[in-house]
Amino acid sequence: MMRKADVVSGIVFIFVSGWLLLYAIPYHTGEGVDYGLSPSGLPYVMALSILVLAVIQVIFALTQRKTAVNDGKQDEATVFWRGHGKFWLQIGLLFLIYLAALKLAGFIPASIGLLAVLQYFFGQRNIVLLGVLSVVIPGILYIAFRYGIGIMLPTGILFG
Amino acid sequence: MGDIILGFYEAFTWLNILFLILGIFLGIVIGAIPGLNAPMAIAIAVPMTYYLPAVAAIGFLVGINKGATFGGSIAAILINTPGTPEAAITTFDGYALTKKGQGEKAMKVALYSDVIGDTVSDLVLILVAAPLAYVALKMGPTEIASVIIFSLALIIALESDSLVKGLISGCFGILISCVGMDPMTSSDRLTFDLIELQQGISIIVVGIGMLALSEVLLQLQQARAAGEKGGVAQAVVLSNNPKDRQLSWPELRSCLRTIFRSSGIGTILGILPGLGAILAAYLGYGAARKASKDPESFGKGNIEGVAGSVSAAAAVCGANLVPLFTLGIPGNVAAAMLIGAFVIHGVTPGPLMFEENGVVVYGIFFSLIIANFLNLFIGQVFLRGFAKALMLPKAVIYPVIILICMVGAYAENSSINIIFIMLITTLLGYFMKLLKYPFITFIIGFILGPRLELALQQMLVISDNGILILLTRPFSAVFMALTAFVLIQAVVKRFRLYRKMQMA
Repeated sequence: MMRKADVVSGIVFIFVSGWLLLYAIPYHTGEGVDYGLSPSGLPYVMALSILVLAVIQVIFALTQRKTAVNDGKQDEATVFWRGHGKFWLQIGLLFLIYLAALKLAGFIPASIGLLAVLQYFFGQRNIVLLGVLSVVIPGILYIAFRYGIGIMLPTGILFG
Repeated sequence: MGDIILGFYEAFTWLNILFLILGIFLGIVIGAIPGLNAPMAIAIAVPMTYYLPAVAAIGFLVGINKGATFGGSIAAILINTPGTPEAAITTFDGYALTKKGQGEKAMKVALYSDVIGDTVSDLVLILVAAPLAYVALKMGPTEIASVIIFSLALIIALESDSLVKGLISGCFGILISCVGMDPMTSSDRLTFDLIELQQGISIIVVGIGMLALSEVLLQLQQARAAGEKGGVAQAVVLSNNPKDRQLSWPELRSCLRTIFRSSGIGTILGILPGLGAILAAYLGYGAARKASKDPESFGKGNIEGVAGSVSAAAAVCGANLVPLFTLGIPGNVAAAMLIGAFVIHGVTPGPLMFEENGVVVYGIFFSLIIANFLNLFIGQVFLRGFAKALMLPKAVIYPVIILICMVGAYAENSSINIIFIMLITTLLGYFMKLLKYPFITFIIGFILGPRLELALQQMLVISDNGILILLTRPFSAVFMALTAFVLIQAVVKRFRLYRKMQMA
């Protein structure tokens, strides 16, 4: 399972370091002076190091003897990564909706929704406790930040 | 002398004492809950210390660290699940004592061992830091660059199962630290014209995303995949028999030699960056068993087993601050998060701290000692109450932590876009942990990157672009040789392991 993952992650790092070396660093770094280390010096060294190390990692991973030959183990790996991928799609979507709600509606309404969904998502089935905590916790946090620390949490475009 | 007296007064203000108590309380609760740990809590708490005075802020965060070390042993003892990684060894004898009905006794041993271990290492820090800082002030940029390179190499070699992955993580951390303004020319670098990135990516945002939020999400996903019922509370049973609950003076006295020995081991290991509390706990336990008159009883409920592992792990806390205070190099992830707090309060960790912020430094030293007494008092009074923290269902605790992470990131810059950046670091941390890329080396690389670049800049200017000065100056040549030794040894060790696996 890790062997395939090492190859894939190594290839990702090769592409990322290639992108950095060929585009990001040359076009998004300022000019330096005639002495010392230029602004692009350390980024270039690090990106090149990552490229070389990623190639070594891919070679190592490919030359490792396969420990799982039968299809059962390969299916297990697919299920494993699909599970994490699906989880991140769900939670990522939830977080993006939360950020949008934070901008539109403000901290308290958005956080009530977030807490309620998260608690249900992670197995809370006591609806009364779910409801109470979803309302009370954001309220406490809002008061603590606003009046305790002096940080104003978002009020939202709709209610601001 | 004036700084010491003023530091004493700073440490004994009501605000400072209050936040020390709060930090310790939070730390014990967080440490007791499996899956949560001190670096996570410190990362989330740092942005909340903006408006506190520096001594109270650092005291609060150090209190969390101290409390979490003891808190981790509560879960290890009562439910055979370490609350923090270094508490894993404590399960051997701690849980065995719980099965005999002596869980509370084991917790008391853990508490006293924790406090004594912590106090020993704090005293070493106080005695050693100022003289070491004086020596460190004599170091030039070449020496500083070589020490940083050696520290990075040591941490990568020790913390990584795969050296290649460790090096990739470390280099990636340094690369990400380059985002923002170039220190020499003040021009934008890798900001892609985003205003939020012009000041660089904050260590607090990286810490919250990679340490706290990614860990919580990973655990929740793994629990879901395993079919665990997140809404169900963990069962914890404590005996009401006074004999099982009390720790007698003869019992404690029998552990004292073990506690002090293991505290010494933990302190020495804590001073070296990267060695960590887990190794200290393991060695402390091993030393206790070796020196015991009854080694066969270890693993079956020997209180010296609990004392040995907990005191060694606790002693790492204070000792890890030695490289931070003297060189500005964090010894572990918790110390790395403290750098964020220092920066917020305008204090640059390193040898100049003693000259420029002497009052703050000595205030923190006194706070460390006060915190140990408070830890003892709070632990003693609320021991049974802290055990109940284990009963909180994950489906309640983790969503609340997720929300606090969002708020903590927002508090850093009062910008919703920062939360988005934090979520990207969360995704990065999540998959790094899954793919076994050590995120600790990423974070240390991220923190040390700017210091390394500045030292290299200065070194190249002094030497007229001669990088070989690293090998020609005696002090830096020694550290570069040590770096090579550490890396070569790590390569050889892993190559031997690789050959063994291939032949199996």
